Amino acid sequence: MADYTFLEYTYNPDCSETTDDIIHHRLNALGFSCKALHDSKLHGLWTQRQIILCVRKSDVLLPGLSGVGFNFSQSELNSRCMGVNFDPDTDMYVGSDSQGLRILGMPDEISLDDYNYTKPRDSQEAKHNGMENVTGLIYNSHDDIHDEWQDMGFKFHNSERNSMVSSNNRLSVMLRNSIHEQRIPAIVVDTHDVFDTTVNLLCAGIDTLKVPITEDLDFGDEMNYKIRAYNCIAIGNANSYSIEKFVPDALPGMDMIIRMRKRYMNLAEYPLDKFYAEDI
Amino acid sequence: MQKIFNNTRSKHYTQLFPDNMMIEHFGDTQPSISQRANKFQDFWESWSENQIILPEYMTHSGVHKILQPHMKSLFEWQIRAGMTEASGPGEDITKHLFPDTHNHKYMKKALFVRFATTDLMAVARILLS
Repeated sequence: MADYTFLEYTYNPDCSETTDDIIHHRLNALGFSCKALHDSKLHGLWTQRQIILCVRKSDVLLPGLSGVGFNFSQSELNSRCMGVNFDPDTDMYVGSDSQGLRILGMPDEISLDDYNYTKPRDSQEAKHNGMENVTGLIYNSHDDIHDEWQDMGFKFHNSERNSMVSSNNRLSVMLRNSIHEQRIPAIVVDTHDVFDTTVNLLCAGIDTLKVPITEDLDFGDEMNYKIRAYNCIAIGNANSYSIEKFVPDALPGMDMIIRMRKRYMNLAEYPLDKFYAEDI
Repeated sequence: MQKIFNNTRSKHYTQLFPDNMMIEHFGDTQPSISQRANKFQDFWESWSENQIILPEYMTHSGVHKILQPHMKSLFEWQIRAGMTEASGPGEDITKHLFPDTHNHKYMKKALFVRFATTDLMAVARILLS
């Protein structure tokens, strides 16, 4: 079964709100640095800790998260899982699900030196890198895609059948059915220290969402104080928790939920209504 | 004396073997040296499908410098020296007789890196390229 590996973000550099400079500056401020550029100049690979973000230029109307990348086995590539085909513009395998979300695959044997990627000469190293992994995303879709994603190895992990997890247990997908303009409005990123990451983002000029302060917290005096001071949403108690910070429009068209957690807590338990209004 | 020694962990030890990871994999912050060695050897063997053979110009310390900010050595990736087949004679290439086939093969030294998961290997491919 295909293992989740990376995400793809697409923007239109001809729009004044999403020029190359704006997007690159924003990615740097979030802690990403560019490690490789495709010779077509349409596709770059940005990393932070264990996160890979493919950043693609295209004439899209709305910028946002456009694809999910997997490490396909050769047999999955041969069977044309999700219609994947080799794409010379990115040197990756590209297909899509029935909602139009791009399904991408790095070939097993990929070594950037053997493909048309080069290291950017003027890449700026990020000043902070507190984000560890992308562990979830919110997907506005309909029920038809369930079978397709199950074919890729995703399995439901709750009885409501609104949350799936990848075969390598690295990515939870919360399925929603809404009129939100974005197919994938938000991703969930894990960090070891949500407070430290919050400070780094604020220092880099990235605003976070202000939420009502919770009075009845059960995380011990020190942690309670920090949760209130850093204005985080906290779920659970001192033994098992998820402490979260919401970054609206972390990249144009894509929100981020940054979370620090102890013990497993899946995406279905998310209090999304605290971050969003009625509709997401 | 033994007890005092066991309860003392240097800063270097806790950097190499962080408490949370030791608890997760060993159930204890200070397993014996043989327990540690066996566990990390088991990791190496079970990660054989997620392996990269490094090009000759890459050094052990260079790889550490690149990967260390992204993933934890021993627990998420390991590097070891070994032998790999070479296409023909050349500098630093040795000729070996393989008794099972009675053929000679050319071998050279190389560094092998293995990763706990395929997604870690994907990150490393980008960083090491």
